[in-house]
Amino acid sequence: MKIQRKGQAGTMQSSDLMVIVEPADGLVIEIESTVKKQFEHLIRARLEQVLAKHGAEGARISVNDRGALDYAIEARLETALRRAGGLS
Amino acid sequence: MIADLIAPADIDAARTLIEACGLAFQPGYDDLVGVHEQGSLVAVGARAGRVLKMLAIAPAQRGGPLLGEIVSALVARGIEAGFDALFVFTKPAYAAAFEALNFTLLAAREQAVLLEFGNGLKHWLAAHSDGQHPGRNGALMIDGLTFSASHRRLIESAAGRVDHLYLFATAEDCRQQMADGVRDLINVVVLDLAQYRIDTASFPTYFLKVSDPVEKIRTELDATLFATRIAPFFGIARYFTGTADDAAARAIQAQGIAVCAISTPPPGDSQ
Repeated sequence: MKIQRKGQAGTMQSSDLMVIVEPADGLVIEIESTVKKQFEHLIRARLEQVLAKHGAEGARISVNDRGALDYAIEARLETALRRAGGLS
Repeated sequence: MIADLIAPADIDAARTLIEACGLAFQPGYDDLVGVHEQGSLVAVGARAGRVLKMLAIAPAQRGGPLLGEIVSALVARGIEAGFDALFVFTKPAYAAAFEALNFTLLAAREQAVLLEFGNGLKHWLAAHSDGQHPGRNGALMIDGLTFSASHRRLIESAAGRVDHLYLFATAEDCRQQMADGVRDLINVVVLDLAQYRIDTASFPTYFLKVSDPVEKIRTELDATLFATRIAPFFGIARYFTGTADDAAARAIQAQGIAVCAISTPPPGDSQ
């Protein structure tokens, strides 16, 4: 699925995350998190799983996380992808 | 819930809250939003282009979710307006509150800090990585609206003293003329600092007192941003300037970059 425009979802509230999806070459994931040291690899794995599930490509995914749980990460990313035209 | 503050009564309430937090109400913004609780305004914040400003939370509500709520709304609108990164200029005491929201501290001085949301600087540097050259390099800022013959002599003189010379024009018109004017100088690179040059127009003063030396604070913050974030990326070890003893030069020197006074050589003396 091709990303067509910029899309965002979520907030910077505690236990939430803000996801920004925009068109780019390849697939780039950038993560900022208040728990980056401990959990960056788990957040990345979860994001990659969701991206793979939808076959997303040609996107930069910028994530600002404040300690969100898995299901929030999944929901915010899917919403941002949908707004970016990458999901039908 | 976030509300746009548009009615005069709402704007007055915003001004009162902002002033109660020791800040000044500074007109000139794209968005002014707030959160009400039981009929009264408890949080407020504004966005002017890529700059968030006048963020104020009622004392009784601090430490809660309100700052995150206001900043989320303003960042979302800024991104929608096409900015990939957003700035906050504020008092050093508030830096930690924004860092907790994943803002990155770009520059800090005694009276002002600059934080960024998003990886704007990282992306800017990556986009200019083809301008990276090894060696002992120098930097020269060119002020003024036109590129003149004396600029050219100044550049030649500075370029002869370093491996590569990075030129920064402060005005867009001048930048193009400069790029054309130095095309034949192989060790000169022209760069545009874009939003990473803090100029008078982009620097908000809402967190400063009227009696503060605003221009000095802005200049030092700008010089610190340059010396700590931009210069190391390009291997800049020398900073050429005509006025080696001003606030900018001192701030740059404090970061370990040699400040070299330079004056325009007379015509015919450029070799």
